[in-house]
Amino acid sequence: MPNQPYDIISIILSTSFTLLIACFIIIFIVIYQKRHQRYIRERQELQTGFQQILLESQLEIQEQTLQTISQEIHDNIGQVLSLAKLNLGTMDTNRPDQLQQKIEDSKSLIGKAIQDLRDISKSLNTDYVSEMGLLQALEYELEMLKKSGGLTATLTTEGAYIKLEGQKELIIFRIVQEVINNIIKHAKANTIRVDLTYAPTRFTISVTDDGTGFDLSPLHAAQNSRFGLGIRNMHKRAQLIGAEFTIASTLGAGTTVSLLLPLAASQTAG
Amino acid sequence: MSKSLLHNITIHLDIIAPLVAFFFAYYRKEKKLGEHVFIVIYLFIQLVLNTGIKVIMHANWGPNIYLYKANCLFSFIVISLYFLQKWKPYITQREWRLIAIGTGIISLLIYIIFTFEQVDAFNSYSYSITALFICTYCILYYYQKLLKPEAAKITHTRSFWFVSGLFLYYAGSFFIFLSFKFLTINDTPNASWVWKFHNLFFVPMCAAFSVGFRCQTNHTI
Repeated sequence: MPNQPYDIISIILSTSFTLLIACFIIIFIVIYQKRHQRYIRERQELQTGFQQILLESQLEIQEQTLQTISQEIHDNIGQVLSLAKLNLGTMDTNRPDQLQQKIEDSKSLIGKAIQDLRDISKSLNTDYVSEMGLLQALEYELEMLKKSGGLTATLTTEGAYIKLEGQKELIIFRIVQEVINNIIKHAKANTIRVDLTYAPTRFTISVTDDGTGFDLSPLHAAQNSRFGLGIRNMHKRAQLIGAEFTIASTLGAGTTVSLLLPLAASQTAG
Repeated sequence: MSKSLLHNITIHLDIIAPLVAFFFAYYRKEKKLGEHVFIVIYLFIQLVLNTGIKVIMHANWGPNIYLYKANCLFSFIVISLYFLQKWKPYITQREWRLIAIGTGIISLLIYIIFTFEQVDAFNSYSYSITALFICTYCILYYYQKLLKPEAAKITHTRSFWFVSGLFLYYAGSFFIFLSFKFLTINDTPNASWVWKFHNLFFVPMCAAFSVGFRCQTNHTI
């Protein structure tokens, strides 16, 4: 029986290999548990980091909001109310012909101040923006801009409107608000155009002005410079919601700020 | 007497073990099966074909080699489908096309192997090829789990027990599959014992399957 040992060899080999596999499975369980602990730790760190960035952004937005309120009160409502006070202070009871006119003027000025306060409240109220939705909130914002005079504002939309997550819509709205504020303050523009494009896989919003434009190179050169701090913050906020923030500007020809947000399948379906 | 009893049990382990696992599958804790339905189908194939093999052999109804071949082929298909279903969410359209081409090539190879083998001649090489493929699937599963260790306890998941059972059986039997043809060609007197010994590997596999079927809902992946 010269071939007899082969069957024994085969059995021994198989048994040894099975035991080896069993050891492999035990080692796998140990390694897996260790990796799982690390995986949990890393995920927690990521979550903490994300929460921190979110908090920073929220604080930033809050700070900017307070600044806008203070500016609005000082430049607009304060002036109107001062004028109303002046009107009331210069009322002369001996001249009834002027008295009626001054009362009417004061009423109108106070009415304007109340309306302005309402407008600010609407524009800054987070719930209001969430309730109206991004499209309506932007329409309202541009309507306000047109009312204030000096600028022509247009809004165009392409594709069917898709309701984004509340937090995302709010961040996008605040970015657009800041872009518009920057145009008013620095661009010396005559027109502002806001274009919204809803595609199945992405949402794009761009704000274009015909102002003076500006040189973007210092923005790339000095990371710590005060110049472009607002732009960097907008970029950071866009990153927070997974959007791509781009800015293109030509001196004397205006600026275009764009935001591209990839949409998840669940969002497009909804 | 006891030796004869042990012998009889060993011979029928390829029926007893799947039957026990089938019992656990029926009284499983989590009713929803998902992709694990393929494990139940696999057990069913083992049970039916192994019983058929034994019945034909004891009743002297002629050759039963074609049932062994069918077992090898169906097991491979069912387990491949099981793993494909498991990896479905991670597979892109391009990869699906590659898988379709790969499946075509493998099917052709299996067809060639089966065509060129005589119906009444048992070729365990096709079993060893199948075992090799299934072991590769299992290793890929372990690798994937190590890359993304999401479950808090891997031993609380069905997949782990099912894959480990398959891995233990096919890796353990690989050398038997590989050498069996050689042993029969060389007329080794105890060659049939080697095949009977292979039945022992059904025990850890079906035990692992049974544990898998006892896994609870919130841990099932």
